[in-house]
Amino acid sequence: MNRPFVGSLAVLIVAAGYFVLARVQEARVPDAEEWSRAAQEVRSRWEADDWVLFSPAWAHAGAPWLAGLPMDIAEKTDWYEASKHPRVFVVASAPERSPTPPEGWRVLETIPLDRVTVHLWAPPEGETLAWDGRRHLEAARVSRGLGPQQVPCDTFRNGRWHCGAPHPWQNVGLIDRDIDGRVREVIWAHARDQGEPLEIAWQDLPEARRLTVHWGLTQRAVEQDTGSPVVAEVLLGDRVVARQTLDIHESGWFRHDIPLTGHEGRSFRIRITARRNQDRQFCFTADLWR
Amino acid sequence: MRRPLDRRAWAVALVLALTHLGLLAATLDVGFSRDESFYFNAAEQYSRWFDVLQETPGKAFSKETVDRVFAYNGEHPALPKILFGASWRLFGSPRDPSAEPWARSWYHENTPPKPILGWFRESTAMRLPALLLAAVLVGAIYLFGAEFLGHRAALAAALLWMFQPHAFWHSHFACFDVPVTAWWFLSAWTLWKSLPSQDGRRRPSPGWAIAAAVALALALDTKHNAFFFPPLVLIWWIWTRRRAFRLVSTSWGPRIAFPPIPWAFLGYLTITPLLYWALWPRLWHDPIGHLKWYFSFHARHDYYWAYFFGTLYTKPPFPWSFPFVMSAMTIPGPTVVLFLLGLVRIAREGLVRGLARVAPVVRRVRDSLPDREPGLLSFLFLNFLIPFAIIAHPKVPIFGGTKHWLHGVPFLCLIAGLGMDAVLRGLEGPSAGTDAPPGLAGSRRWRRVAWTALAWVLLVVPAAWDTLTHTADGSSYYNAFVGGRAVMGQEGMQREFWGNSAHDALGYLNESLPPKTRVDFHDTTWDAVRMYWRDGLLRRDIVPVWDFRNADVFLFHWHKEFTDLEGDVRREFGASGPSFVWAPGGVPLLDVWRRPTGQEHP
Repeated sequence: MNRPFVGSLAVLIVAAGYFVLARVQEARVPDAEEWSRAAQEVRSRWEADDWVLFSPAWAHAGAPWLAGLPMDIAEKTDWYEASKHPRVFVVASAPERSPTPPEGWRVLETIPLDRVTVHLWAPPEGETLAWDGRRHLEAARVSRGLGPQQVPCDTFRNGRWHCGAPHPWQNVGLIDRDIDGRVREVIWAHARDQGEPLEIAWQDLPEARRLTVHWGLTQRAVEQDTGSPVVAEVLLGDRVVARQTLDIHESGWFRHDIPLTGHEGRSFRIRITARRNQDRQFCFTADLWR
Repeated sequence: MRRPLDRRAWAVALVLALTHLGLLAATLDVGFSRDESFYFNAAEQYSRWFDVLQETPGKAFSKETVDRVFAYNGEHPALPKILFGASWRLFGSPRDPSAEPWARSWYHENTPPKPILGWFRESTAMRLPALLLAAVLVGAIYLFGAEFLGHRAALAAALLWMFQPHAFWHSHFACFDVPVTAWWFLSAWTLWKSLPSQDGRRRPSPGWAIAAAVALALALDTKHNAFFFPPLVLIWWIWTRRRAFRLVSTSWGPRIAFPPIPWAFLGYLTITPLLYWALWPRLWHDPIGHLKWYFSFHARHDYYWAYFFGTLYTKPPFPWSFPFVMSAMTIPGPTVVLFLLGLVRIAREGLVRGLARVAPVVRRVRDSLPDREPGLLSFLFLNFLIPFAIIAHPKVPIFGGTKHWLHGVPFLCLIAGLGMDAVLRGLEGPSAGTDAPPGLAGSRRWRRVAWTALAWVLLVVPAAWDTLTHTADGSSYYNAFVGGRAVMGQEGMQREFWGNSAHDALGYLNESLPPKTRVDFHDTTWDAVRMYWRDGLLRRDIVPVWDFRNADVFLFHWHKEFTDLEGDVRREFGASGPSFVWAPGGVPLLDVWRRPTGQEHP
């Protein structure tokens, strides 16, 4: 065999391999019947507060068969949010049909089907969610300014706090926004202009061992060249326990764990400040864990 | 060596073109994208000009008529839309308002025209000119290749172009991208035919030069990217004729001697602008004013979003690798391999011919190379490269998937055809020889035939399979080497091309929605929805709205830039998940959200 022949043969082998690879990729995709069977397996084991997510996270083609069950269809999995549920069904298909549970998670059951595997996992034991700020937004006290200049934002309209007359985006409320690669349910707290602080405070909270705050700028915000960096702080009383400056293009969903002792954490404040607030779409979540 | 086209070549070209047309016609269930829907509207409006021409010919060319009839979509030349409109009037079967009075509102100024031949549904009639041009392009690729690169390379190039999921998908549309690809290719072909070959074996042809000038005008009258063709030609011509530029001394003093100016260039300066003007009514009365507006519109085009390896690009600088990487990912794998092989072959031939001029030792290698017209490979290479290179510029918008450099892809296929030729030559190697006994020679011949057949099957069938199994979602195709469609989810790549996926939810909507349901069609336009009605693809009682708060159903087209909106809809509807997902290959392209009624479970 001469060299050109071997070269040509190699090209043919690559082409044949390509054809086989493409068919294998197609054959791994679940059909309606497979999704239906997977949904039956999930429904037959369902308990209160369970949650469904998909692996890979984007492969939610089976969602219609799971209609009515709380599920996550975002582009990537947020294991922190998943850990708020006692059990999580991971409906897995190619190319991530056998995902590895995050550290500390327990495998309760694995149900392999033809092209789907249903995994039932539980988050690490030992911690319980005591309070989720998103579910207690109405109890928050929102204000702008500091000290004598502090003005309460006490107009609560359609689930959002406004400083005076309702404003389309200068408000504090629950929303779903794409932040750091996935849509998240967050508290929207658009920064105010000219360095005027915006504060969201909660009081009389349950006792907890840890306050976990996540924050970040929306995808839309980090795309823009406008505004100035946003300074975000967590205050226990008058003590700043977490502080971060988010650059205008800084993408991320930043986690801050604040250990609590005694009655610490029964009240806390989130303070947001920006010199120029154009497109500074700041969002956060706050959770107490016991 | 040039091989004059014989009857067989023309017959093969015709068969290829008709096959392509047949395949396109058999796969017309492709949703209407945003841009196509705008051109449907423009075509319908422009077709009114024929009424004016028939009823009051004197007024048809007046500024008032032109400003009224051709006002819409002036940012693109009128010719394709005039053709779409003419085809629609001639072949389309518009609704009869006396039988279906409600259908009036689906037409411009509430007046559907009377059918003339009424052979096709309306969208098909609008698409027909583009489908025909797509078919002509396949034949032209074969003919060009057969004459200048050889039959095998030509056949491979034509087939590899036919079987590209993205190009095949775009070939269905009443849009400009495949038509301008066809005109660009025809411009290149006719230009090449008009030029004298540098080795003197082919004489200049004024007839082909006129054809080249006409083809360029039609290209320019189709889409603005054709403006890059003349500079490309000029660069190539100067480069390949560089030795003919020299300083000579005359009795008048030194002057620069030029190579003979091609006839086609004279055509470009006379016939092309005249025809360009004549075929664009908006230029008739205000050529300078409209062209100024036209160029400034495209020079300051909005930057739309493009999702590429997990980054949502919204503004410059865009990655220069975008057109190259996207093509490598969205052209069937074997075609990419053949192209790379062809590219290596071009580079080797160029290197050897260059070195042979200065190193006599290389001349023997040069003499073993195929006999080609000088400058041909560089002409092909530049026609492939320039459309890609323009989009690669970090400031050029990169929205629209792969369509903006589609006019370079037929040349990529010709280069892939050279790769195919190399593969076939390699397979012939061991079975070649003339001194074998008759029995052995026969066996070798059959072995060669078998290898050749196997090569064609293995290198073309995968591409054909990929293309014909991705007809409805061709713009979402990624080849198996990069993981297939799953790469869109795994790596964060663009999934869908603006609004067309609604088509694949129409069956679900028609079957499952209660009467008079209000549907927010999201990225699908009003012009697309009314064409779905006109074609009988959508129930007429469905009420389109573009306000999810006022809707019971929302069609979420999966684009990264829209994901916030899906969150808003989910919250507004209080639904746990989508009721219907169109996910070819398992990757969601469209989520249908419904306000829960308690009967969601399929």
